[in-house]
Amino acid sequence: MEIDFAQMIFAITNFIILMIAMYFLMYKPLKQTMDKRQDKIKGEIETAEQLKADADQMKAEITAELAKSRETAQEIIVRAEKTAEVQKDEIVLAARAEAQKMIDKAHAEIREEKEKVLGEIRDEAATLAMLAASKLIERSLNDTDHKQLVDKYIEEAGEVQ
Amino acid sequence: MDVNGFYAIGAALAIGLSTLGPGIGQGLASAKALEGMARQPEIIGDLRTNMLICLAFMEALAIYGLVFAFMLFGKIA
Amino acid sequence: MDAVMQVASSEGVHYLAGGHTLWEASAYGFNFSFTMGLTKWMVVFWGVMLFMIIAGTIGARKKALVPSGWQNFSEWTYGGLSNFFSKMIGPHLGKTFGPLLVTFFIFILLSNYSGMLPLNFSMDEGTLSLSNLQAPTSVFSVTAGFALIVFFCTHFAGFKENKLRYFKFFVSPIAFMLPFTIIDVVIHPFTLALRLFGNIHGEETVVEQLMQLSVFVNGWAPAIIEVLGMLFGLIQALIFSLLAAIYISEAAEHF
Repeated sequence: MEIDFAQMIFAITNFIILMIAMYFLMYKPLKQTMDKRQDKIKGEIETAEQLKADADQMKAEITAELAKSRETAQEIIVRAEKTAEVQKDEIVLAARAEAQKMIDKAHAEIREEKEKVLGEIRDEAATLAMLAASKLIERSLNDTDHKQLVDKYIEEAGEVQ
Repeated sequence: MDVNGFYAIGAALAIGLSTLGPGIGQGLASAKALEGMARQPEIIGDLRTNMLICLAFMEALAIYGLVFAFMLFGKIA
Repeated sequence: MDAVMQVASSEGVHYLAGGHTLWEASAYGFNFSFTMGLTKWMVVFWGVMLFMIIAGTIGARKKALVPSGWQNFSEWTYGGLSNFFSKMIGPHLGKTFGPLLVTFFIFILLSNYSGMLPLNFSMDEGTLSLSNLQAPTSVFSVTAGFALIVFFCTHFAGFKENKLRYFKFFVSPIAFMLPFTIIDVVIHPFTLALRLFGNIHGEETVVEQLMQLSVFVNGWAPAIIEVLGMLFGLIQALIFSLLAAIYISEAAEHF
């Protein structure tokens, strides 16, 4: 077993030189690079998380918005249906009223026409009767008197009817 | 008798005998460590490091014998 | 006896330049000396240093946000190791001692592997022969120097974290424990150095011995050991830096 102190000093000094050289040439720059990368990755992860949180929030907002608009649309539809129902009822009612009115008017017209026709027929009948009577009695009567007479008869006849 | 022969025998005995104890000890230690590793594979890293340290301490004994063998070798003229 | 002689001769240090011993002493089987000179493993040491610095600089030069190629590899290496040690000793200590431990790991790993490069040219009686380089970590002086760095860092960390209370640790439960804790403090870096040296030197010796054996086809038998050596080199590098980290964190967290 040989221990040479000169060799020992050689080993110690050279090792310390090596350590210092390695520290400044390798460890320190490598550590800086690694730390920088770590910081960058950390920052990027934070940014990504922030973005994700933003996206989540936006998604929630959009979902809420969508639900709200869907609700609104539903409301609008319901309201429109109600309105349509009301309108339909109104229209139907109006149409029915119109129809009733037309029917009434038609009835009235018919009645009027009937009256008119009946009046004409009565006049015609009176004239015919007057002609027939004047022919029968050969006597010309005052036109106005005749008419009054005939009207009286016809009225009587109408009452009898 | 030549004294060099005694040095040679002494060196051989030093390294030969000094390996017996550490050999058995290291065998037992590594057997137990492997058993532990097989039982709990999740702590293999820790076990391996500790096993190496234990083996190093045991190995030191064998190394003492080796060093003495070297010293005796050095005395052979 | 031939093989034994080979090992013995490999213990001797061959100097490329210089090599005059200024001081020498011997105690407890250890030969202490102070020799000024350039050895082959010092060149390997500088080679590994140069490789690390150049590779690291190239890896860190390009500061691309999306790493690729060599940059990616250096970031993976540095980031992985630095995280590993920071997790082990805490982020506060990891900031101070992270570079030391990472450099220890990479340097010891590359040193261990440099011992497998067959780039050792030597002229033997007129014929050029190639053999494996001597790894710097297979020299006890180097591993002892590394252990000394760990020793100082350990107590520096302990003193920095606990101030004067740190010395209370040595007499922690009772004053009676003082000799034992001191032995502990000395033994820790000593075993650290011995473990690394013994493993790498032992592996290199085995490869060298197998090279000498002509029983196997030359080169194949050492190759098998060198595959194991790859694994051992990695494990030893890991264990050295891991234990250094544990000693440092232990010293720093006394109270």
